[in-house]
Amino acid sequence: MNIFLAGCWDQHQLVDKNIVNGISFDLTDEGGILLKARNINIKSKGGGQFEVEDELVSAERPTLVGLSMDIDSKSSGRVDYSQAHLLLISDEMAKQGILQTLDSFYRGKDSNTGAKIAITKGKAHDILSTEKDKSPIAFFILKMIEGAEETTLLPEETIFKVWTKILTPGKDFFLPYLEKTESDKIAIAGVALLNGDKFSGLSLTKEQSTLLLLLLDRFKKTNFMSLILNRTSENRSIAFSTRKIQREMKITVDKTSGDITCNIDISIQIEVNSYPQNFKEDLNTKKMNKEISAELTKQAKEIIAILLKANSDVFGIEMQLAKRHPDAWSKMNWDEDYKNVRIEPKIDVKIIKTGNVF
Amino acid sequence: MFFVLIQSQIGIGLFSLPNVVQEPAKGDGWISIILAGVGIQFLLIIYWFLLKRFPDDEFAQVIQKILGRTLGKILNILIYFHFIITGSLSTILMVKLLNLQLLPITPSWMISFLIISASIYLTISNLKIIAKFFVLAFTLIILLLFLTLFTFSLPQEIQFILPVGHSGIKNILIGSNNALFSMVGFEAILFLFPFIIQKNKGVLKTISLANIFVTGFYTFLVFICLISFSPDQLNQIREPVTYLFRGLSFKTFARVDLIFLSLWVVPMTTTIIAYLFLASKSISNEERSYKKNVVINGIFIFLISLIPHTDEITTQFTKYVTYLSYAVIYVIPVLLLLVSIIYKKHETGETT
Amino acid sequence: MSFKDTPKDYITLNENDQQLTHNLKKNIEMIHEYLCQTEDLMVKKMSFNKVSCTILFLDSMVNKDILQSSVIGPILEKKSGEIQDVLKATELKFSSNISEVGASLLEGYCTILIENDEIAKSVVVGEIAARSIEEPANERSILSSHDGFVENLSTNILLLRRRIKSPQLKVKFFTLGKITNTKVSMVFIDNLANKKILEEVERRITFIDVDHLLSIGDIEEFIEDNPHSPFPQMLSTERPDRGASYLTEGKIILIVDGSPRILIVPITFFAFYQSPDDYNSRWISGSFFRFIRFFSFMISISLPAIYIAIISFHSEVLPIGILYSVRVSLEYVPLSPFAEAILMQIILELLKEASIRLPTPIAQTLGIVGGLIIGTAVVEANLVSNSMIVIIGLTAISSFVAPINEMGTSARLLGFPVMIAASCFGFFGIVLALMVLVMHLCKLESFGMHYFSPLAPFKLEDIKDTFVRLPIWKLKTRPTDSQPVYKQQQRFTRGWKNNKY
Repeated sequence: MNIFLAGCWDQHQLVDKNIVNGISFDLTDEGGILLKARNINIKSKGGGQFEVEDELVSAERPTLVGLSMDIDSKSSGRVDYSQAHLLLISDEMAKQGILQTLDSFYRGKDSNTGAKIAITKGKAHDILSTEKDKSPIAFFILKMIEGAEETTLLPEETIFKVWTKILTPGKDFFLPYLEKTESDKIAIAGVALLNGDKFSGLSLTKEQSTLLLLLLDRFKKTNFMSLILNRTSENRSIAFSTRKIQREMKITVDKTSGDITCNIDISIQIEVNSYPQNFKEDLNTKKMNKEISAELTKQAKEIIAILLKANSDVFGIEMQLAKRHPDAWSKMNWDEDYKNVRIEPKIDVKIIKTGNVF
Repeated sequence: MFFVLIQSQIGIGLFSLPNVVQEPAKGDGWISIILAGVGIQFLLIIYWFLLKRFPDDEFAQVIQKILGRTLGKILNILIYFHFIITGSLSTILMVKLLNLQLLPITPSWMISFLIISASIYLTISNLKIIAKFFVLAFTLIILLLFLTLFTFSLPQEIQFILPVGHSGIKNILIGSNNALFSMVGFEAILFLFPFIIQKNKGVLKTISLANIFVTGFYTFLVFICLISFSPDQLNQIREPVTYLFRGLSFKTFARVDLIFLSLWVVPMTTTIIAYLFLASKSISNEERSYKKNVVINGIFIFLISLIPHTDEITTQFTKYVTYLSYAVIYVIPVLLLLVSIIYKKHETGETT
Repeated sequence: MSFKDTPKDYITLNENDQQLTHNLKKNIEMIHEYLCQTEDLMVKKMSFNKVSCTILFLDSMVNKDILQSSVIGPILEKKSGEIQDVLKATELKFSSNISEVGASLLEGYCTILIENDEIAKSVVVGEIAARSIEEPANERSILSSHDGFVENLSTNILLLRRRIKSPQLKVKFFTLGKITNTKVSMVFIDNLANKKILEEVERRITFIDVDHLLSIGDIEEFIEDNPHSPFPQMLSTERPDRGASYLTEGKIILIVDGSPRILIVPITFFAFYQSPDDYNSRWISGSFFRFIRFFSFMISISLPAIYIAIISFHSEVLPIGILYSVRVSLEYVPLSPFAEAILMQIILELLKEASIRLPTPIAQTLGIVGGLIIGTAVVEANLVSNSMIVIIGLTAISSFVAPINEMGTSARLLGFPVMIAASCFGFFGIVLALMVLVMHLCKLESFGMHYFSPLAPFKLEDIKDTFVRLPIWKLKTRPTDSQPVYKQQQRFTRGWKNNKY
């Protein structure tokens, strides 16, 4: 009997748990770490109806350790991080490297390694403190990110995947970049580029991030892009969605000069969503194809320039080099030499559908 | 029969396997396993030759017949000791794993007690019933295989493995060495042989198939772990297979690794049951003493499993057990076969 | 005056080996004495062959019409000749032993004693007052036949013989119980049933040495392998179509006079989840229903335990949406989930027991009241959470899905230890408890046959009728669990398809 009564050692009742939804990490002015967490607070409206709200709890410490204990002492019940599905890191803190922040998440047995990470422009806790009437704010951000992932706007990155990628030498990654706009609303600002586990400080806009994902062959179900063609003479704009994509990437090393060239060829099949010009004529697909291809290639070059500046090797060129051309690779110092790599994109667009109208 | 062998091999060894193999062999760990499997196959053939010469005798008697009574008895005790120790080690590893992932605060003696009681409950009945249970437990392994198919949706880099063979033969062999501990269990055939009814019809085929299955299964798992995690990660993660499942989440169950771990308790228990059975069989000759022996051996295992608590003691323990198992599994049967060939001692069953 | 008499050990019966004498009066006295001067022993004096002749019978056991037409009538008419030629009787027994005569009287015979004759003749004139054949209340079916066994042994055997008109259908009688002298019969198909099992069953029955044997449950407990197991090792049913189908598989049936339930031996676990309806519907529907039943077994054992384990130990398993709903419903409940679950289960069992004994007028009202009380008010009073009620409700429903009631109750009861294990050790506890359960199932044997066949030992051919119900024309071999003598049960039954003639 004693065994049974005393015996539920590991019981951790759900009722007693305080569920944390989202966590934000910031650097304080003194160089400490500020953590804010969103806890679920269930309010009874009487008659068996409940309303789920969340409240903000914050803790501040010189280093990462001990933050969770502080949060625990400020919340009722025991804090449970296993449902924390959103992690926000401010850009300043990310510049110092995110690997240390993630340590407690993959060491503990309880954490949610499927949580999404995002880097914020400005203070992370600003975004988390946004009061929203509708639903818990972290949930809202999560849904926003998930929606963007489906339209190939943001890459799919969870703690699990990120950890693998950080420890993979030779390949870098990028994370969603969120910002808070004026009227107290949260918006996706694009993606943040990282070098290793440190935020490079540079980011890409939404349009650029979509294109980058296409260049990386990480096309999801659908994709929306809008372009302004021929800015100077006319001012035509077109919006389209991608249906199918094929990519080829080739890395060549010039034996003598040691120059590395990476050729990326993409052919996209698109469907036109909106082309609000030329009401009387049909769309000239051949001409359009050429124009769009040229414009996209130009944009791709811009993206690559930013990538090189950020020293972010998202194409995994270093890894390919290490495997295929080990001699050339061993002679290089990758951090410096990455800037000298020439990446030549070539985008070939083909319109396959134009919607209900010609 | 097939299933009994499989169950006694697979079990606790599964978890630490990829980590253990990774260190020397880096990206070629999977080749190490295949090599280990080949080595075991070779051993199995030796076993088969040995056992064919004594179709109806229990192994304990076989030893005595070949080497004489006193030497035989010493060897028997050694083998018995090996089984008990290996059983205890399996229990210790299993309890540690459960303690770490599922039930951190529950005292380990409690977990150990529960598992061993359950094992005693099954082992007390005869072999047929144990085999029946093992067949059912096999379905869980199939379920696990099925689950691993889902891991293909996680990011993977074939690059981690390529180029094939870059670690060098020596490292691969060291990896095989480490892998062997996870693959022991096949020595059960030594004791099960007299119980097989249809001896001539492809016994060798069945045990080879079991070996191939286990080797293939392990190779597949190691392969997946290797391509999903980078080498640095693998060095750090204690149990890569569990961690792999952490990355999976479906709409209705978020934490597949918890479920997987709970289910894996069953194959791990079958390993312990197998060792308990072997230990008891190797020292008792008739029915009555068998049941008593099962309980006594169970208590032994339980007591031994209480001892080590820290990581270091456990690693030391593992090393000793591995050495002992080398002696028992490799050296003794080979010796026996040689001696029996040289002295032409054999029995041909009923037709003498 | 004290009532404290120490009870003696065994009943000493009047083992009267006395013989009848020539004296009629003395014989009548002896028989009176043997039956303890019971007042329903009637004596009718007549004369036959110019001597006095008495007819003795037990008033309560005898059908007066038959007595009149077969015995009294002819005697009064003929008045002379050999008695056995005069009587219009289907069965005539001769005996001069008092206890034999007494036994026949107790069976409903009437005894004719003639002066100067020490041999009594007994004629069967028994009353068959039995219930009419109707469908058993517990085992209803939609598509199969609606007759059920009754309390009378002969009628039951009739129901079986009507379905199997084979010369090999054999009946063996036993009489058990010192006081009750109950007739028990063993029915089987002679060239199909396994001889070893037959011998074993007979052997066990002959060991039964009791004072009274009133119902089938008594026999079951006397001869089953493992009375401590929660799983029944013999199937008891009231449906003759079930009985007949198992007979054709080579199984043995035991029927007890006075009980409408029969026992089928040997049986496997999966037989408890088969229903005659399966065979009368499309094979796909039949298979679907089989799956649902097995699923229900899983649920009734493990669902509350899984719920408790998730809530108390591993709430990380639930995805966000479900987690919030469950959390919300648990908010103000003071009891631990384990206590909640036990409370609900007990309430459910109480309701179930009460509803069996309720008189019908009250039943409906009380049903509504029960539903309201349990469903709404308990939740409103914050004693039990909403989600727990859903869980327990599902468990209860699924435990009633089992075609055989006993198995459903066992499953529900087995849920309790699994719940306790879950509340102590979480998922590990559930796995452990289920593992021990499976081990127990593997160990269980029903008359030497493995209980958990065809899963363990794994017999692929038998699977075709356990988890799925393959079309009838595919069931070419009999299930092997009772080891019948002949394996094939069908020949090429759909041959007309290929044959254009």
